[in-house]
Amino acid sequence: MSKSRRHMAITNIGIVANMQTSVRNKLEKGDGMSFSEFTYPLLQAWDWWHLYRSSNVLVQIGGGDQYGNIVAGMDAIKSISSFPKTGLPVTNLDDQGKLRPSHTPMGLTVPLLTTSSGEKFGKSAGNAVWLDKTMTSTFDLYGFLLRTADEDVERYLKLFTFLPLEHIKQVTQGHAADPSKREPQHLLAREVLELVHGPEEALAAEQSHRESRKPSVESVAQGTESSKESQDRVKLPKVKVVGKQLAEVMQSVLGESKSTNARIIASGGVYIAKRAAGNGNDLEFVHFKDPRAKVTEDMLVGNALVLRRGKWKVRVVEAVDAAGSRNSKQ
Amino acid sequence: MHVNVDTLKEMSLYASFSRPGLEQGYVCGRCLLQAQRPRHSTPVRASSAIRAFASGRRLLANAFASPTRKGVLALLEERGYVNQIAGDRNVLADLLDKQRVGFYAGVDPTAPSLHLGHLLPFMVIFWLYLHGHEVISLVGGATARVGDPSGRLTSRTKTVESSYSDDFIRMNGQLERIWENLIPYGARHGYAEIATGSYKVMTNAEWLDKLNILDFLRLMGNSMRVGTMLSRDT
Repeated sequence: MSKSRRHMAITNIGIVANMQTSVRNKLEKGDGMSFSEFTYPLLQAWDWWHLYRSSNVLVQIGGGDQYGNIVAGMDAIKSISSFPKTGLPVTNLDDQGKLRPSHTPMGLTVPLLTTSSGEKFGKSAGNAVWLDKTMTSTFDLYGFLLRTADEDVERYLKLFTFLPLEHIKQVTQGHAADPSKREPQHLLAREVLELVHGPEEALAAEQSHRESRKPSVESVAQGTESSKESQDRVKLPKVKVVGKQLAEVMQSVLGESKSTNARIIASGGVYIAKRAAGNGNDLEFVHFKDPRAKVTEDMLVGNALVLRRGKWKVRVVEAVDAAGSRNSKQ
Repeated sequence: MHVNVDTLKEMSLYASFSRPGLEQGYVCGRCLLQAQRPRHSTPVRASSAIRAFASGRRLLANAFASPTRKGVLALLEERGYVNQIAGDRNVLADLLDKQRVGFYAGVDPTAPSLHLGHLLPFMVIFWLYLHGHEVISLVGGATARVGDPSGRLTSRTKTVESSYSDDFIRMNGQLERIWENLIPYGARHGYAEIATGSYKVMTNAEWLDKLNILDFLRLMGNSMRVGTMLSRDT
């Protein structure tokens, strides 16, 4: 708080010392600025003036980069209010014709979020994580949130859920006892999905993630209700799986180039699920380290290759015969 | 004078006896109209707020705020939502706990979808809505065509006209759906719908499309100094 108050005091006198201004910055270091772009803060200020006058909108909330535009809007509303015939109720103004404190526009900006590793929040490998499920599937949105670092998860739970703080504290403390379960991350993902896509989608995404985290021979062979159609399950012609290099299969399933995937394999970031010794239904992930090695028949579980890239990304690749029907060979 | 509906209900007797224009009793016509008309998502506020209070549910901070209860702004600060406040923090904190306050947050549809980062300012809007305030989420259908230069070194690539309207329609629909999810979601976390404020999803094309450039220059143009605009940090 004290930091923002200090900043307030500085901006109130109209000059932000030692800060590069965005107009100057773009003019001098960027590609210049069109008159339209220069006008942008004024258009945004007009929006606010319109809403101030017609709907009593006193406060604008904006992202971390919106402080300047918001202050411009406040200045504009204060100035326009003193013009004659604006249609504002006279009671908004004091004796000097200035807006009373209770009618003076104010602004609030939210922080620019960065992850504990210094990246901009909401980006996955440089790409935005979208809220439209045709652009970022509910499975991948859930997966993205599930990968939240332990250092960040409490902060995100406070920001992206409506859970009471005591509840958040409880869950994150419980997490310290058993970090492998990632319960705070599941909670974050579930809550955000519920807000963005609704409770049914949230539940379905959670179920397919929990299953893909712990695949069993049975779940791989049959595909459970929630994962049958989900994005963690893909079908490929058998000839594109067996006899191909794993890096190539990953390219068709997870995207990114064959060489990138080969590099990830070589660095030890790829696992293949095998039947666990002892219990017939359990699978365990084992390292797959040879970037040139080909997929063989005995790597399949039932008719599927179960691969995991990194800590979380699991794909069940069903190898189907050319006609597209299921290969039933066990 | 703009007042909130609760106060108006108490005042209505007085207002109906007093002539508009008298210092204390004057209430603008629109407020009176709003008080008489049931509004979106808050149909019978006063009486239902009392019922909610009786049954122990959460309710409007302004209606029956206890002096010890933490204010809405303090809640937002505690959860980490506040980076900077432009204006007087204490005036804002006070207003928020005493009366309904109007808020807006906007986003330009420069892509067919919101992304995760966009959610943060809207989370603040959602909290304020759940605490009884009047909020607007604005989709900048008009301003997307100009493009906000804030924080950028290169201009956005120009988009064909048809994709502006496609992007607008998709983003607008997306925000509407998130609002529809929020209401049961808020209820699940104990924010009864009767104690919430009101919300609108609007587009600035509604007024910017028909804005007269001379009106704009007279009011806005004369209010802004080029020197300030050049030196402002955005």
